[in-house]
Amino acid sequence: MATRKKILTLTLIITSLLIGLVVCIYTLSKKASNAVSENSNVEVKIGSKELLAAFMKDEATANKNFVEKIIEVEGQVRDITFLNDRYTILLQGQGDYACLMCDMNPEQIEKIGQIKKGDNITLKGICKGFLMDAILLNCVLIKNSDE
Amino acid sequence: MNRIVLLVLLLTGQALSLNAQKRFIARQGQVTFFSYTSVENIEATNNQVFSILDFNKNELAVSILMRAFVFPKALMQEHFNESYMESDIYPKSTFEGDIIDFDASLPTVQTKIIKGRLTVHGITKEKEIKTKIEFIANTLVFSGSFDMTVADYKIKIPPIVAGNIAKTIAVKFRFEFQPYEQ
Repeated sequence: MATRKKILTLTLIITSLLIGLVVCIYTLSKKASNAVSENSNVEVKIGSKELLAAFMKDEATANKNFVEKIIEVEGQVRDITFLNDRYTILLQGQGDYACLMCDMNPEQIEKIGQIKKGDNITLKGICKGFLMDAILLNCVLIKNSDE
Repeated sequence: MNRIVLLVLLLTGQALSLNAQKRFIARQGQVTFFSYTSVENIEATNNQVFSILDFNKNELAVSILMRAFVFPKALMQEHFNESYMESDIYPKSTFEGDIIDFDASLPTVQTKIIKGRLTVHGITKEKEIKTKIEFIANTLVFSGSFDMTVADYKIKIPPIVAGNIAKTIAVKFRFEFQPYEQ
């Protein structure tokens, strides 16, 4: 009887340890939630104008459809800025003002150097929502059609 | 003598352009917050803060997406958005205020109080923020820092991690304004 109790206790300890280990591995291996790499799976593909129009038409629905998702966007470069040690590519929206603000992954510096205003490009990044502009973080360039 | 004339001309020119241009925007303002405790220090930055400045009324408005704060660790960012700030329910924080005694005709560095309402986590509180206002390379720059008490905004921190998160958070900001052409 005593042996049975011992085996039971030991099994319980080992199971708890295994669960603990799995949780630890999962937590530690989890990538930063902003992480986007060239191999990341794209959840939505859309044009920059259409994405902006969706946010301007119905922000709550657009939040549900796009926020915290990896989005591939195709659009025309309106401007490129360098501020606070980060490059940002602004893609054209429908009107003259609102645009898609794409904060670039720092590893993309070389590729950013080849982009000019007016180029048609495709990039992917994680969508964070909409203020005056829609915001995509940690973007990586997929294609520059005007290269 | 010529230099003085040039300087005066430059300064008046700047003041005139500020008077002529009444509205300014910053699309890429930076807001960083710091939580210091004996257990750990946490810092997160948001580089996409939107602000609009109206010199007709000396008013300033700021809007910030909570999900655009970037943390050094993914888990911190997840807890911040999912548990503490509830970013799905309260995606934005805002500040609207009046710049007290601001004189747009003075093209020098001015430190002014911006008195207004800060809304975080759905809770609005009166707030006075000391702000340095200056011209740097023809850009109008607002910068400064302030403290905010976590409990004031009903941000619930579970007791198990209470020691890891400061009760008072230090916030630092910097906005570079461009003329708003619309």
